[in-house]
Amino acid sequence: MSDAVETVALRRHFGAFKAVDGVDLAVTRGEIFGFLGPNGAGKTTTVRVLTTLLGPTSGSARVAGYDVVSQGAAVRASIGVALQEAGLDGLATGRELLRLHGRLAGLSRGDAPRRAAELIELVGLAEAADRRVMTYSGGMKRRLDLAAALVHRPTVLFLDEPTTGLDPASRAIIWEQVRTLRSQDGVTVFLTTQYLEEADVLADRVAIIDRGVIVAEGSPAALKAKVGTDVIRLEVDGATAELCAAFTSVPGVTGAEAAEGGVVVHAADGGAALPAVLGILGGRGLAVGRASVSSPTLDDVFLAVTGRPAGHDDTDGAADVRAPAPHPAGGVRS
Amino acid sequence: MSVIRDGSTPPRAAGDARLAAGLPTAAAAFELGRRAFRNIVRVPIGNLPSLIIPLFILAVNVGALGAIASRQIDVGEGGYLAFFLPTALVLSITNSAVSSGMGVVRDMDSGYFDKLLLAPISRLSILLGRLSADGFRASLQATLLLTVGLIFGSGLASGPLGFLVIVAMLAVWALAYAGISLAIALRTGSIDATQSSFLIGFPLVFLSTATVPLELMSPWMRAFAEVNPVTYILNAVRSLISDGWDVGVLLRGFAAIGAVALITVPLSLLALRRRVAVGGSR
Repeated sequence: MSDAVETVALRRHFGAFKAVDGVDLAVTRGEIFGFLGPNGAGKTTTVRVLTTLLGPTSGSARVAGYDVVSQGAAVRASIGVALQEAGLDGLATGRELLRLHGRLAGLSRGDAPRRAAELIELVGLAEAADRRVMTYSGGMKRRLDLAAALVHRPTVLFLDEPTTGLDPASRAIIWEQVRTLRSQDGVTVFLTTQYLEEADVLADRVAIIDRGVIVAEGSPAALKAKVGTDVIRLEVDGATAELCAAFTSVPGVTGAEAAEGGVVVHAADGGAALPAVLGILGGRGLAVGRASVSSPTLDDVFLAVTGRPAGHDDTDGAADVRAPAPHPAGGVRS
Repeated sequence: MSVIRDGSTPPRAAGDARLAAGLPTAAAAFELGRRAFRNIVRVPIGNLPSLIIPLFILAVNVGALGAIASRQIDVGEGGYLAFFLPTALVLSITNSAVSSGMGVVRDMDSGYFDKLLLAPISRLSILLGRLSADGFRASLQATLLLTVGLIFGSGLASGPLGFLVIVAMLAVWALAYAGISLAIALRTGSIDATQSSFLIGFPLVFLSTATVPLELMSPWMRAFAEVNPVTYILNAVRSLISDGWDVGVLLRGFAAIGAVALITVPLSLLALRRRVAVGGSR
């Protein structure tokens, strides 16, 4: 049985810009595959090539066993796609939109409304189904977009940043749907995201793309193991090598180094190590301006794999020692 | 580009047993046309300019020039109103043909065009759906304006059947001319560029027999009007309103529309092909 998605040396250039520059991927059937990368890394371009919206510059790609260039119609019949900006018809109601796409997918006049009603229930839009889409919130639009992608029961589902900018409730609904689709219907899910956390909860396997090139691939656990640990960031004056060495005596701490404006401490469990770390500072009479604990983020994995922060474009490829941006949640976490 | 059928694809892998067979082109175009027309109806104010402006020009022209023109032009019983009514009709239809392209550009802007490209239907049906909605809209528009003209006494020498032929002719003109805005829309993906296609329509309508017959024009204008397809459409509609049935004039009118379609249909198909091949709507 062929893979659900298979690319060989896939390239898509826009003039001199190499959006996708030699990508090899193999996603097995029934897998949830996380495709990670910062903005502009090539995620969306890859998805557009795989979904036949863009032709590749060179290389080849097969989706559901069909070539994306020579068998585009067969690919489109096999896939469901929810693109990053939920492309919907604002003047239609949710129900009308799903009915139309059911019809276009070949459902009969009787089946299309039934399938629409089924999907409306599935994504929790029953109350809004007969309102125009332009009145929907961002989360509701994404859910409708997901429903539209499922209308013809695709075997491979592409979700391009399905939860970016969503409230937690909408995000939870989408995650739940993705899991159910895989477990009940055996759907292969190709999911792009900027959040390692999202890939962590959902994906069986992850690939990280940067500047059009795959820089890491593996299970989420394996990727996080590359970074290793939680990170404690302390704003403190007078960080010295001696101070850093003192931190390593705390159980669970695997390393510490001075960074811009303070210290970065690596620990297997940041929350557990934090009191002892703060205790060392207190014992020396050093005032802490701000302390934060974060789990490895895509930025951290990124830094570990590429030697520079995500989205930081240094053309000579030299390692950049700038500390990664603080975790958006910030603050002290226990 | 076409809907896949059994046999057109290599042996399926086991997981592909549920491969969706999309709707055939005609049925898909019907569904998409329904959707496009529904959207036209849902923004009713969007249709006002292409109705109001021609009616305004009709009223002003007939009011101001009617008496003078009737001395120079053989306008028959319907007066200058009967002479100018076809101009208002063609102006209205030509102006609103811009909205065919606008509909496509708006779909590109919202990303919905991608969703349509991803549906398991032929890409041609996306264009046909758009056009069928616009053709239907044009028929309603022509019916409305023609009825207004009749109420104010333009007369209709060719009778009820003539009414239908006029509406049909204008609907076909709407489709032929819409190809220009569709081509620009598909080529540029830009609202501004698409909107500016009315710059083609305006001279096309007025550098014709819109206001006076060929004989009364200055030579340069006459030279232009004689090769302008709109002249022949106007003459055909005018003959149906004022004179009755003149098959020769009618055929020339439809031939002029056909000539325009010979240019605009390949242009818009080519633009669609390029858009789909190079890929993506941005």
